[in-house]
Amino acid sequence: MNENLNSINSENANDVTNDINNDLSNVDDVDIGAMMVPESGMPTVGQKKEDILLDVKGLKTFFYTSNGTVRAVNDVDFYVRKGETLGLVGESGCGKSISSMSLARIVETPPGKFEGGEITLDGRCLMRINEDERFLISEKEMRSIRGNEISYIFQEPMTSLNPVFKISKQISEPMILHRGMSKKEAHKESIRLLELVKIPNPERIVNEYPFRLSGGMRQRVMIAMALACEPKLLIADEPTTALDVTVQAQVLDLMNELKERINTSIVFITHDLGVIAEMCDRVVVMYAGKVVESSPIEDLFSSPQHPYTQGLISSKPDLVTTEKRLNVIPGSVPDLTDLPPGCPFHPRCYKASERCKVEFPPSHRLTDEHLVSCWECKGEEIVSVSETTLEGGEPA
Amino acid sequence: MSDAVKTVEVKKKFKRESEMSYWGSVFFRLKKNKMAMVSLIVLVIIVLGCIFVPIFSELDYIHTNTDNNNQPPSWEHPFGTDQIGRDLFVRFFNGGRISLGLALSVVILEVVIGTIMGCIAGYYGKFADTIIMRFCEILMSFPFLMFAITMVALFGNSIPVLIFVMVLLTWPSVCRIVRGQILTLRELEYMEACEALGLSDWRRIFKHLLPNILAYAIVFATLGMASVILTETALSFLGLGVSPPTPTWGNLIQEARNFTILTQRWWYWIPPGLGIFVSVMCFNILGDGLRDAIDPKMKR
Amino acid sequence: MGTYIVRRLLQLIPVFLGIMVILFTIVELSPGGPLSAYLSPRMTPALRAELVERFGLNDPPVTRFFIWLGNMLRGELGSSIRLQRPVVDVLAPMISPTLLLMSLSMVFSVLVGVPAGIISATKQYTIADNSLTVFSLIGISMPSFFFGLLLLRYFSVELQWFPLFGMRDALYKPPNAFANALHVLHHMVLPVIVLGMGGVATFMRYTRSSMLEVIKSDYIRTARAKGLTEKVVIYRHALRNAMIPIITLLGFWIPSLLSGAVITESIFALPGIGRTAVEAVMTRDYPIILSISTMMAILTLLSTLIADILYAAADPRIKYD
Repeated sequence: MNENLNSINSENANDVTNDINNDLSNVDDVDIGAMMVPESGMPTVGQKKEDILLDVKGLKTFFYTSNGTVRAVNDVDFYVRKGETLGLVGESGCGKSISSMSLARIVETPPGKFEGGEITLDGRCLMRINEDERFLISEKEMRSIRGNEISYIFQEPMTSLNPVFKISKQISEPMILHRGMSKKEAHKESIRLLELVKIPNPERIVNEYPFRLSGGMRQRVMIAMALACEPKLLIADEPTTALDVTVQAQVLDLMNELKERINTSIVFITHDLGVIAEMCDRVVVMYAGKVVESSPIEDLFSSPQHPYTQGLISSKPDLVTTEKRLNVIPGSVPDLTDLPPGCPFHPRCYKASERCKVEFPPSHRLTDEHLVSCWECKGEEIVSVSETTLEGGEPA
Repeated sequence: MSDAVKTVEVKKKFKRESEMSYWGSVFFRLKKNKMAMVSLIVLVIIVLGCIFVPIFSELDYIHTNTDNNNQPPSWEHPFGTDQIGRDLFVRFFNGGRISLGLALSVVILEVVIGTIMGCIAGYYGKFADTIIMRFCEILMSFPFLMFAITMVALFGNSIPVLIFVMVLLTWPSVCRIVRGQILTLRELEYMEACEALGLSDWRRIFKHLLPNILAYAIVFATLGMASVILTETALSFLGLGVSPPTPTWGNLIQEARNFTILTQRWWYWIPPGLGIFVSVMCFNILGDGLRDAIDPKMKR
Repeated sequence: MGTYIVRRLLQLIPVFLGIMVILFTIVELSPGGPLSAYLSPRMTPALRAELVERFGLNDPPVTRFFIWLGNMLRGELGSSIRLQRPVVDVLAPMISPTLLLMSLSMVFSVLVGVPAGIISATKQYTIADNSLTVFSLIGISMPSFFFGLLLLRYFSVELQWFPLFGMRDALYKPPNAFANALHVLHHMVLPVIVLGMGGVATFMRYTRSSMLEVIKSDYIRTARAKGLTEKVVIYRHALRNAMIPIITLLGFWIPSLLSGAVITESIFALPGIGRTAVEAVMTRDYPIILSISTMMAILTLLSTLIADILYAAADPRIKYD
C-alpha cells in the first residue's frame, strides 16, 4: 500500500512544478515564500490581499428534499490566487460542483439554500452568512458578475448549448449583456473568439446550430462563450469528462494556452488526477461536502497525507508499479442526508480511530500551503505544528 | 457502541427496502401519494355502491310509480324520482354498473389485444410489424366519435357494438406503446442471454418481456378507464350509446336536454354528471399516481 | 421543404385508402348492406331489385369500391335519403359554423392553456401551480356535455347572459356586418368554452411538463450562468424549446376538436357538421354519414401532416431531406 502511495510518476510531477513556477512568474509577483503561515487554510494574516482573487470561507450549501437535508457543501474553505489554476477533486457527489455553482449562485434555490459562509471575489464580498448576519448581494448585482467576472464551462458539451439558437447568438449574448456591444459587433467578436478557440471556418460555424458540431467543437464553443467577457475567474466543471481522450488533450492544451493569454484564474473541477496534474497549481480534495486536504500539486502527488487522498492516488492506474491489482477505496460515498458522525470518511478509512468516529478533525498545517483534516496524520507531519496554532485553526 | 447500534439499524432499514418485491415497493410509493389513495378509496366506494345498491334495494330501476313522480330528493328517494316515478338513486347505481362495467370490459380487451399485437409487432418485426403498425395508423386516423357514430348508424346501438367500436379504436395506442417497450427491451443484454439459452419465442415473450410491460399496461388501463367512461357516456348522451330504459350515467344526463328538466329538476342530471366527473377524475389521479410509483424518475 | 411536404402527402395516400376500405367494408357488412336505409316491411322484391339495379349493387365489391371511391373524390357524395337533396348541398352550409367553432376553441385553448402552463412550471409547487394543476385535472376529467349543461343552466337560464342555443336569433336583423359578427360571437361564447375547456387543460399539462423538462436542462443552466435575467432565460431560452412539442400538439389536437364539436353542437343546437351527423344517425341517412366520415378522416390526416410540418419548422434539428 505504502509503496503505491508514493509511486507517482516523479518526472511528471517535476514538469508540473516547473510549469507552475513559469505560470506564477508570468502573473503578478506572487512570492510563496514571503507569505506567512495562514490559519486553517484561509489566507489572512500576512498574505498579500491583492493576490487573492477568490476567498471562500465556511461555505455551506444544503438542499432540503423530501428525503431529508442533503449537506452537499458543508463548511468548505478554499481560495484562488490571481492567475492560478485550482483543482477541485473528489468522487462524484462530494460537493465539488455545488461548491463551484454556489460561487455565482447558479444553484437552484429552493431546494438549495446557503446556510453559511463568506465569499469574497477580488475584494468584494458576495456573500456573508453567519448566525448574526445574512448578507447576499442582490440578484441584479449577481447577474452582472455571472458570465462577466465569473464564467462557467460545464461537463456536458452536447446538452449545454441551446439547440434552437445559432452559435453566434449564444456567444454574443454575454457580450451584448455585459459589454453593451451591438448585435453586429458581438457577431464579429464571436467569429474572433471562435478563431481563438481554434475552430476551423469560424465564419461558417458561427451561423450553425449546435447539433451540427461534434462534442469537442461544442466544448470549444462553450469555452469561447465563457471567455467572451474575459472573466476574472473561469470555473471549468469537468470540461473534458465527456470527450474522447485525444479531444480531451486538445481542449486542455487550449485552456492552458488561453489562460496565459487572458490571465484568468481557473477553478478546475475533475475526478481525474491525470488532468489535475496537467492543469493545476494547487489542489483541494473534497469528500462528502468537506475539504479533506489542500496542497500544492507537487506535494499532493509526492506526499499525500489524508487517507482518502492516498486512496485516490493509489487507485489510479500506474505504469511504474508491478502490482497486478489496482487499489480501491473500500465502501462507497456516504449518503449526504445521513452522514456518519465525526469524520465522514472514517467508515472507509484504514487508519480510523475511535476519535475519528465522534469528532471532525480540524485542518492540520503541514507546510505553508499543505493542509489536511485528519486526526491520524500528525505522525507524518512534515512541519510540526504547535498545539496552539492547531486549535486556533480549528473551524468553529 | 451507540454508533455500532446505529449502523445496524441503518443496515436493517436498507435491507427492508431492498427486500421489498417490485410490486411491494410500487405499492409502498403509491401509499405515500395521498391524492391517489383518496381516489382509490372513492373509487372503491363507488364500485361497491354500484354492486350492492341494486341488489339490496327493494325498488329496481324500471319500477314505476306514477303517483310519486318528479319528486325531489327525500329520505325515501335520496336522488328523487323521474317523470314516471322511477327511483333515481337506484337508477344512478344501475347506470354506474353499466358505465363502469362497460368501461372495464373495453379496457381489458383493448389492453389484452393491444399488448398481444404490440408484442408480435415488436418481437417479430419486419413484415408483421409493418402490417400491424400500418393498420394501427389507419385506425388512429379515424376521428373517434365520428367512427363510433358511423358504426352505430349501421349496426344499431347495443352494448356489444359499443364495446367493439371502442376496443377497435383504442387498442392501437396500447399496441404502439408496447411495441416501443419491446423494441427497447429487446436490445438489453438479458434477452440475448435468453436467446443463448435457447428459450422458445413464446417463452421469451411471456416469461421475460411481458412482466416488464405489465407495469405500463396497468397505468395505461387506469388512465384508459377515464377516457373510455368519457366516451361511452358521451355516446349515450347523444343517444347513440346504450338505449333506454337501461340506465347509464350518459343517458341519465340526456334527460337534461329537456328544458324543464334542465331548469327545474336538477336531481335528474346532477348526480350522474358528478358520478362521471368524480370517477373519471379519480381514475386520472390514480393513473398518474401509479405511473409515478412505478417509474419514480418520472416524478417531479 | 416543398419536397418534404410532397413526400409526406404521398405517404398519407395508403392510409387514406385504408380508411376508405374500412368504411366501405363496414357498410357492406352492416345488416341490410347499403340498402339498409330503404328497408321497410313494405318493400317489394320488385322495388328491391330496382334499387339494386339503380345503385349498381350487382357488381362485385371491388368494382363497387372503386366506383364509390371515385365518386367520393370527385365530390359526388350522393344524395341524402331523408332530405332528398344532394349531400353536398346539405353539408356545404354546415361547414363554416363547425370551422368557426373549432378555430375559436383552438385559439382559446392555446391562449389560455399555454400561458397557464408556463406560469405553473415556473412557479412550481406554489399556490398558483397547485391550483392550476387542480384546474387542469378538472378540465380533463369533466365530461363536456355535463359541463355544457351546467353552463347553460347557470349562465343562460339563471343569469341570462348568453343565448340558449343556435348561431343567431331567428328574428334578429343585423344592421351591419360588425353587429352581425358580435351577434354570432355572443352565441359562440359558451360553445367555445365547452369545446375549448379540454384543450385548455391539455395544453396546460403539456406546456407545464415540457417547460419543467426544459428548465432542468443543461443549456438553461448555461443561460443562467451567462448572467441573463430570469425573464430572458425563461421566455427566450426555455420557451422556444418547450414550445416544440406543443406546436406538434396543435396538429394532433384537431381530431379531438372534431369529436368534441359533435357533442358541443348537439348541446347548443348549432347548425354544424357534428349535429348533422348525429341527426343522420337517427334516420340512418348513410350517404351523409359516410361523407362526413370521409371528410373528417381527410381532415385528420391533413392535421397529422400539419403537425409534422410544424415540428420540422420549429426544431432546427429536424431536416426535411
